[in-house]
Amino acid sequence: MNKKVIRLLILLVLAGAVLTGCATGVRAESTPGVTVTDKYVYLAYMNNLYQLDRMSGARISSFPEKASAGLAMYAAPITDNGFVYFGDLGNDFHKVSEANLNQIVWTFDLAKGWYQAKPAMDGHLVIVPCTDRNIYAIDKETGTEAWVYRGEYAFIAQPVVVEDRVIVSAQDHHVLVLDIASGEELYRVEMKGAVLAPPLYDPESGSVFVGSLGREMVSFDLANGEINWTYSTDDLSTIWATPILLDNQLIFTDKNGKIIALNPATGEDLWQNNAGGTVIAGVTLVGDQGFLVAREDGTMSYYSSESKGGDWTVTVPGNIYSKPIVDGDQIFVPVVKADAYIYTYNITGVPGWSFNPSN
Amino acid sequence: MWDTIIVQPFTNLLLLIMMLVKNFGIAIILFTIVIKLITYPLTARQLKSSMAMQDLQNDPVYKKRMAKYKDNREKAAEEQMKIYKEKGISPFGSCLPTVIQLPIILGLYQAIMKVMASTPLELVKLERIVYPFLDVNRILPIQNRFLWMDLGQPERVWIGTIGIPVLAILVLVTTFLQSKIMQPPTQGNDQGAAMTNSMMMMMPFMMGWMAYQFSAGLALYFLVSNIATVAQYAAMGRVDWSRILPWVKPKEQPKPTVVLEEDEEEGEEVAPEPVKLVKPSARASAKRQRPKMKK
Repeated sequence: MNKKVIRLLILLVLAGAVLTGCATGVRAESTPGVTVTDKYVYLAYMNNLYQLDRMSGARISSFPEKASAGLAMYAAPITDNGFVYFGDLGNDFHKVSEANLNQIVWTFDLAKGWYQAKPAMDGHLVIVPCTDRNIYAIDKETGTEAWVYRGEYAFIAQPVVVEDRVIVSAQDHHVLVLDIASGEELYRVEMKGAVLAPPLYDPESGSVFVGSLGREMVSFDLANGEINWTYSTDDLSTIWATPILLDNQLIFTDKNGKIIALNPATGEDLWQNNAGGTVIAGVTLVGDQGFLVAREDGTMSYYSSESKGGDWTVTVPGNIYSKPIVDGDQIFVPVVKADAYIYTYNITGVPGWSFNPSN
Repeated sequence: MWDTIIVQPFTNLLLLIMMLVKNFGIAIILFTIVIKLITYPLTARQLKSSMAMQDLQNDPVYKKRMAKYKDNREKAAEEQMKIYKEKGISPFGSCLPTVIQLPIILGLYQAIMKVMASTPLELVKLERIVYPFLDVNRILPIQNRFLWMDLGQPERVWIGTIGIPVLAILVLVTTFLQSKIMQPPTQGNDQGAAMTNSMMMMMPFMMGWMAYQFSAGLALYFLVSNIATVAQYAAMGRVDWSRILPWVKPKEQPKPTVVLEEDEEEGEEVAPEPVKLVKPSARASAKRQRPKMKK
């Protein structure tokens, strides 16, 4: 074979390798999925699920033992009785031992799509939303499918389990309510836009509160699906996160950073503030005293229920797209485009540890 | 810059088509056809150049003139360039359009990946690049189901636990057929023929492998693009179906687009030999200018 042909073949192989490399890498971009327990912080990001020491942020273990460039995981896991349940972008959902993340108890591999959202658990079932347009109920002991709900679009929000019902946010402009025993759809509530965040359930009133990209906040009765009220104004932007209930106020943010408090019973406007920038992560409850608003640009402010203004502000060195987690006196902030995957603070805003796997 | 000029317009065009047809698979097919129509002048130019160069290769006068300088490659290349200039042939005319289409393929890949947003973060980013006249709330959610495919995932038809990559196989086969029926007639065992044959064998596997690995949306683009290219060439009368369909009569050689006139100076009898088209490189020229050591 002459030199030109060899050169051409090498070029083709290189081009193929480069393009294939692009294709086999992580195919989705997302934010770190974080779950906090008494002892550990679980962080699913890029090619690993990390088990970190909650107090120091030191890495204790990670899954898999050998990371693969083609396998990613972003969904926050759930833990139960010494086991960790999580899905990946390789279409597998695993149950592993908390004592050794690489000790796989079972793997559910019937899905044909990625696991992007945190699952929910109730009794013996793990309820797992999947981007293959299905919601799977998996028996937590055996890893077998108990039922499957077949939808029309990818499910990317954590389901909420309330007694015998599963409330699911759907991208097809609906909130679905399923029977937890059979997966049968009991009813659906129509929204004006895609619903990307889990709804909030208030056990006292029996109401569900949910926002959508259709620039609305809706309250409906879980018992029968009847709409209690809809809040929608001309200057309201899209809603990307779950609201909170604090001091009998329903508080949420829109994408433009507007902080809105409504009367949860009537939907009446109580007060408004502005975070001063784009907010995707919404508001996070801090005990029963206040809430956090994390802006996309990393500015995170604490608002006490009394002052309703920014009592303290820190700048997290990264972009925030998912809700910070407040547990005890610690705040855990998952970030992207930063030196670390997660930053921690105490509830007065004093920085704690951060985690970067390469350090 | 890249995003603003290529990816964003592609993404919005794709979304606009999707809004009209309400199906992402059909949107990709229509989008591919639109892109093919937009790049038609490039394809036509590419074909014209390659046809002219091919005709030139087969021209007896050209062969004679090249044979005259068979021992002096530099001179042959000089003569070749002179003929190209005379006949208005750009030696890069056949490869430049292909090079120009590469960013389009890359941009399309990125556009499809952006539209296939499957995480909240990707949806935030998609919302940002959607032009104001497209209401993102009407666009979302994106229906990525088309026939049996999930366009955001690599395509497989599952028979039990075995996933058969039907789309990748179709891409491989259509790429091969495309190369086969569009392959210009080559001469004997010269370098050009060897390169063409190597390309013809390698390309289908490369494209098939990419279709196997990438999301079905992009593999669908490859497939439609292959079919559209064959259709385009067929419409221009440059497809020889007899290469793949044995019952079809071989196509008659079309009238050459370039004919060299024999001038007196070159009327001497020289046995014509196939001469490949060579572009003089500085390195080759320097090498040839070096004095040879006598043995």
